[in-house]
Amino acid sequence: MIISRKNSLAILNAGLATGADYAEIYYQDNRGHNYTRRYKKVYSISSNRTCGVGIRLLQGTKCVYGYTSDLSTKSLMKLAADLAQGFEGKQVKEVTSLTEKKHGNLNQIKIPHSSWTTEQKLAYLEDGEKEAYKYSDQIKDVMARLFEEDEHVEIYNSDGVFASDDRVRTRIMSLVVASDGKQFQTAFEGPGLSAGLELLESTDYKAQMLQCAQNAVAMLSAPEGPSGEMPVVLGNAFGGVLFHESCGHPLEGSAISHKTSPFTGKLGKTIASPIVNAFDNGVIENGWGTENIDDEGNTPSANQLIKDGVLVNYMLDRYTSRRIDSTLGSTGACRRENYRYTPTTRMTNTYIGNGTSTKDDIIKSVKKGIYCVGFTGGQVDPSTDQFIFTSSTAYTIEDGKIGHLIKPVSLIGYGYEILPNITMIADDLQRAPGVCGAASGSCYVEVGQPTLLISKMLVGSAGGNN
Amino acid sequence: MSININKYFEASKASKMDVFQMSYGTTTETTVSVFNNDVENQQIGVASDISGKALYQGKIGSFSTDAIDSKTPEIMMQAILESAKYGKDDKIDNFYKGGKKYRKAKICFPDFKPSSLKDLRAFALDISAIAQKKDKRISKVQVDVTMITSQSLKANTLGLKAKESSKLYAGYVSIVAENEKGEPRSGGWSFKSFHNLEELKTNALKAIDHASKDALDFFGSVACKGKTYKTVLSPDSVASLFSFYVGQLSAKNVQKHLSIFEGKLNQLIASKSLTVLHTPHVSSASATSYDSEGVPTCDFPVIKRGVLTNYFYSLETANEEHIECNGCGCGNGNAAPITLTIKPGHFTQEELFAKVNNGIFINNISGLNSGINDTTLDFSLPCQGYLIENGKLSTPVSMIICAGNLKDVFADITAVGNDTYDGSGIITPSVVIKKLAVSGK
Repeated sequence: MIISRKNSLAILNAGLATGADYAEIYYQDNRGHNYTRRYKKVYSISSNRTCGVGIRLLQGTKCVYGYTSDLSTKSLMKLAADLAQGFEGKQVKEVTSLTEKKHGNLNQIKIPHSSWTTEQKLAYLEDGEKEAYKYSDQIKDVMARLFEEDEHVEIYNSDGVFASDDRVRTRIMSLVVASDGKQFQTAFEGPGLSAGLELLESTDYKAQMLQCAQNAVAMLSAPEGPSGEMPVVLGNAFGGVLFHESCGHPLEGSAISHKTSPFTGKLGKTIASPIVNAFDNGVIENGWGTENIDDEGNTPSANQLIKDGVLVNYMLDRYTSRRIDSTLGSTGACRRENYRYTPTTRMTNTYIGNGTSTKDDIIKSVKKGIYCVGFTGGQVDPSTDQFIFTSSTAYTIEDGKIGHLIKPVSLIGYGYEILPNITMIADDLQRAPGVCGAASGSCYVEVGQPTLLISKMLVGSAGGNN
Repeated sequence: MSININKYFEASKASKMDVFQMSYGTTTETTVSVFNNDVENQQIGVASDISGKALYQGKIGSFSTDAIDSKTPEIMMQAILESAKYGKDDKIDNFYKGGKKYRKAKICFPDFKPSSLKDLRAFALDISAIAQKKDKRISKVQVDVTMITSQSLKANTLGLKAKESSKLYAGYVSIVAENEKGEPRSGGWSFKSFHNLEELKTNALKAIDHASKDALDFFGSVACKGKTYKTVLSPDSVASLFSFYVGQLSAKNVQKHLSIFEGKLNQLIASKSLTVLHTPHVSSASATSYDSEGVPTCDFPVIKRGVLTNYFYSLETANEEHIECNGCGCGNGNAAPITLTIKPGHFTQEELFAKVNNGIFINNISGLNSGINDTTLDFSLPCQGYLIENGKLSTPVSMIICAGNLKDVFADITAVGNDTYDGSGIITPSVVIKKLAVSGK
């Protein structure tokens, strides 16, 4: 316990003094390291520490939140008392003891970050970098980066719970820029896990770099893609950004509780094609979005959101479930970037489950369309469910066969319209890491899916409709 | 501000660092969020952070933290030495020695009137109620209002010492409207004031007008025919696109042969209608009197009638070319503009529509986090707007994608409006683009 039992109880009770029915202290100590090679030399080695406390008080469906980087008892007591001024009532609850919450460890670490020297880490990056440059003299820049994060969080709350978690994350990234003298093209890969340096041992970084180099060079001669409405085959892994944007965000408690989501009140109703099963699974071992407890101390869950096309659950935290129906409780998905953000419901590892088709079946079924295999991310307006995501690597499909590479395209639509249009799902589910930015800051999430077919979708490219 | 610089300087000296530079900042924020006339969240926060970088035996090390106590100087020096051991090669000339005068950025005014949490609550509720009454179809209103004050200090062992303060109110109103079929449309707009809640309210009312129009006008809107259109871009759309374009004007990218504008200084790179000025001291949230290296920021033309007149320089990139740094350092030797102003023209927006006669007006672009490649400048973004027919706005259109390359967009400007918008560091008017590919029906 970073904050002593006596002090944490005093702080919680100071917060409860004016009628709050729930008080919570969140302590975070996050240490990050970045090792980057660029321009064929060490570009930067940086380290940072984010450390502070957030205090949250709830009174029914009202919330007050405060944060400070001053961890003195005086400062924390003052913050709690200042926050209590947000309510104007008498004390209704007192906390007298804290019991430690026990939990298992979903993120076993085999090789801690401290096991390798800086020299070893830089040599690993350099080996990958060389592989990219070796591929072609059209490679003009290579960024090789290792990201490490070691985080300790503690949660103390007025339900008498003390919970803590140690979170270790590692990501190994490659960005390659190619040029033919007239234009630039880029390619990126960046696997990551809630794990230690075993990620580096299990990743063929040279192959990852080579793939990026090949993709960037190939893109130099790729023509513009087609535009307009057409069938779209989305590749597995990061193709899951479709579900993340179009359905994941609108199923988060904040959108549901504000009734701004098209899925509000649709529990038990069909919202997708009957072949669609979707999950927010916070208990995948070493998943990039996996934590042993969420940021309000609740246990994560393997939350099935859609079963055979029917909406069966939302993603909820303590606060948003109060706003919707307090009997629903939390699904263990309350998250925040750091202590400066009020926490809210966020996705963890979100994906569409396997279907019964094969990737080949799906490609063969398309007469004219596109096959998207690389993605750079996306965005959604949760109030209208209009989303966009960009495919950085895509091919034409002609008469059931994969055609030629095309320049990046954007795909837009409404989630509630796209989900029923998923007509085939393959059996090759894979997940990939990403960083999702929303109300409580940037959170680490996995997205995923098998290869799947959307019967029609609006595709945009610089070529315009053609 | 309570930080003892000397403790850090002494610790750096004891660690035998050649130069040590630190930045210290404290930010206090008070935020109220109102949803449908209900105060949903109130947030208060104060946080300080300190970062240090040093040159040690010809290499750079750095560390940043918000855990600040008596042990921080020692922890910081250890971390810097560790990262400098294998760090980037650097030299003492890439640290600013101080000595030049700083011109004050207009971000902290003596008449700034702070507000209590209670005042902010009342303000946000008032704005929410006004927005709600704007139209019967408005079903949801979210208002966020924040008062932010910050102080920062930058100093190094060569003599640099610079301070800056900022006091600002910032807000955002988002509106969801529903028609009789329950079809939702949304709009959102930001507002700010460097002075008081009265000015903030004036700006909030304008934001409500913008946000509600964006929501209400687009009921029943559908995609237009996909083709190439003569286009009027709204000021906020121009700001969104231009923020990516300027990355290619960083001297670092140019020197590393990663810019499409390499070797283009004093050459025509954009339309002759386009003049862009670096204006780092204007009343904008991103304005500042010194850059991330402590170098004074200054005014200079970036593009003059389409001709590229300056790249953005950090100390490292300026020293590389043996020229004076223009105060655009943004960390690790990179450079970026502080605040830019695209020089307005003489035409009202209506006159721009008349000039286009038949085309499209794009007033909202989204998907910026994934739909633009800042290296290639290729973009493909969802947008909405109105068709322009016979010189006037006609049918609203949505679910369309505009795409192309930003180099072409800013080369194809044929007219510039006299309206302005501060889009997070880029103050822009509306512009007319000769042709833009739109994917739709």
